[in-house]
Amino acid sequence: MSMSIREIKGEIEERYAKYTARKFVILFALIASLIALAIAVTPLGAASLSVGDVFHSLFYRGSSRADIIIWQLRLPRIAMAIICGMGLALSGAVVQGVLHNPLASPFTLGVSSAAFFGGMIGGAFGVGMGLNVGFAFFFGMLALFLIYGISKRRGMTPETVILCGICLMYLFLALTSVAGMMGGAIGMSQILSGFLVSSSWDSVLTTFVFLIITFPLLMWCARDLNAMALGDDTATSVGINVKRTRMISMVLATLIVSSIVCFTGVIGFVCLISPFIARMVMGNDHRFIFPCSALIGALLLLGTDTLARTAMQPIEIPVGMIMTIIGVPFILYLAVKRSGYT
Amino acid sequence: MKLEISGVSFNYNSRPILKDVNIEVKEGEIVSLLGPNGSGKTTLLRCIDGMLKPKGGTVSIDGKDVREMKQNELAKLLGYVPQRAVNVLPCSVFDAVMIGRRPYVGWGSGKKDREVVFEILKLMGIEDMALRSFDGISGGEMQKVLIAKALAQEPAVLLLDEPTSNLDLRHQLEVLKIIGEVVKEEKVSALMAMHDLNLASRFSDRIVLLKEGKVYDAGDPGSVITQESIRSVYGVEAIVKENDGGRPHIIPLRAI
Repeated sequence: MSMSIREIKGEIEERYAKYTARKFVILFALIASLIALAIAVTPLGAASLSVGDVFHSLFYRGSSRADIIIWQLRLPRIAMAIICGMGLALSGAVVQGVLHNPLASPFTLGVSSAAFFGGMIGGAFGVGMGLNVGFAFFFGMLALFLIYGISKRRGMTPETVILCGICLMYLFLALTSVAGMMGGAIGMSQILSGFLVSSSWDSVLTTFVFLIITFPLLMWCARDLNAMALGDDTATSVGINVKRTRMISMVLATLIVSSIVCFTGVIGFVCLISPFIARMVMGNDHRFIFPCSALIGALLLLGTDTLARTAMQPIEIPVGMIMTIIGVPFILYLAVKRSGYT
Repeated sequence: MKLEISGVSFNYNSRPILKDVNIEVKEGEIVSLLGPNGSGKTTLLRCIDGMLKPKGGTVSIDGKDVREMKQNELAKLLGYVPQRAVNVLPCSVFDAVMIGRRPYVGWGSGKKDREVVFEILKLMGIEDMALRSFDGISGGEMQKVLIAKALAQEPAVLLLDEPTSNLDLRHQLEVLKIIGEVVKEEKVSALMAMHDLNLASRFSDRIVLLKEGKVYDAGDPGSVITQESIRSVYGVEAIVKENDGGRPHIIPLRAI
């Protein structure tokens, strides 16, 4: 009845191989779904187009009305939704991994709104997008360090940290509103809840550059973040420079968020929900959580943005609002579920 | 390889915590660090693994000063087992042990690393829970996983911070038995901070008794654990008997 050691070993190796293969299958399935969704939503919108129009325009770009709509309106917006979704979800996964807090995200910690406030201040000087992102980054880091300091205090539970983060979020949203009013900005409610309306190829390119530079660096940190989940002591004892890894990951996550909020305002919840789902399907390996979270974020934001621009045509609902409507029940569910075993 | 702690002292806010501590742990030997709360046990472990910088003295493994080693180099020689896991975001047991391979591999893990992890899981008798989630196992099993992680580093020296303090009776015995076997088989030098005098004297080759940051006495359990030393170090009146293995067994009576 008893298996030989070789057999047991073979069985575990096989099960571990399957366990890893399953993760790759999920990643490929997500990539396929994202491509399919992007193709499916391109024809949807105020001007009705067919899938045929879309394919024709993609491969034989001309100057017809359909070509202009697709290349100037639909595609940049879809690309922006995908990139922003990826970036926000990725930064959420990073922040959760660094703080070991499943409720953390740039949104719930006030980092997004601080960065947005910074971006707006930068915009007031009118020097250009580079400076905006710079200011956004500065304020985003300010908020993140404040929260990190708070979370390191004795007796802080993950929930209290989030409470402080949400206070910061409201503070910076209020500051942004006041600054906006002083600057005579209109449509603040739309700006404050996030929007993708005015996406251009320029903004797509800028956010894409930030994402493509930070992603590989974050993937490099992913392995060490895995060890840090077992505690700083354990991580240090296997040769990890804990402070450096933590600092690099936080800076990169804030950089991504800063590059996004300058163009889109604060789109919340996608950076909280996506890493959570990623963790549920992938376990706690950040090397898989990061890409998985990014893909889920892209799917989520592309889906909600499509809803935002088509649900009440010709009125455009800010995508941030839809995300909130979906996100809040999710948070409530999490809160109730967590309370069950703590 | 042997661990040598010579003349180590450490101050915390100019208050001396460790004063001129000298300990030697030979290959294949288990040394227990005993002493009341605040006597400097954990601080000493911290000074050895580099988490704290001692004010004076040296810690060396096989004659090499740990202070002069790179962090990764030290991680290949020294395994640390914390008192308990702080794990909010759980992973599989296999992946948790794989973390111990970090000093040897780059970003991914190779076939050899998987082999090593499997061998260690088997050695610890926890191979059947390899793919279970780390937060779904019992405290005793977690402690075994943490020891397995430290062993995956293939260390020459193992530091354990009260490895049995969170365990029930059965797991206390089990975990200490495994540590004993591993130390003999893998020729590791183990230094562990302990609270339970009886377990320490039963499972260690030698005992170092700390009092207010100084080595009060060191030697084999029989010579160190006496009525007199327990009174002086712990402030406790106790009867010291002998267990079946000829090791001292104490029955504490009252605090003085």
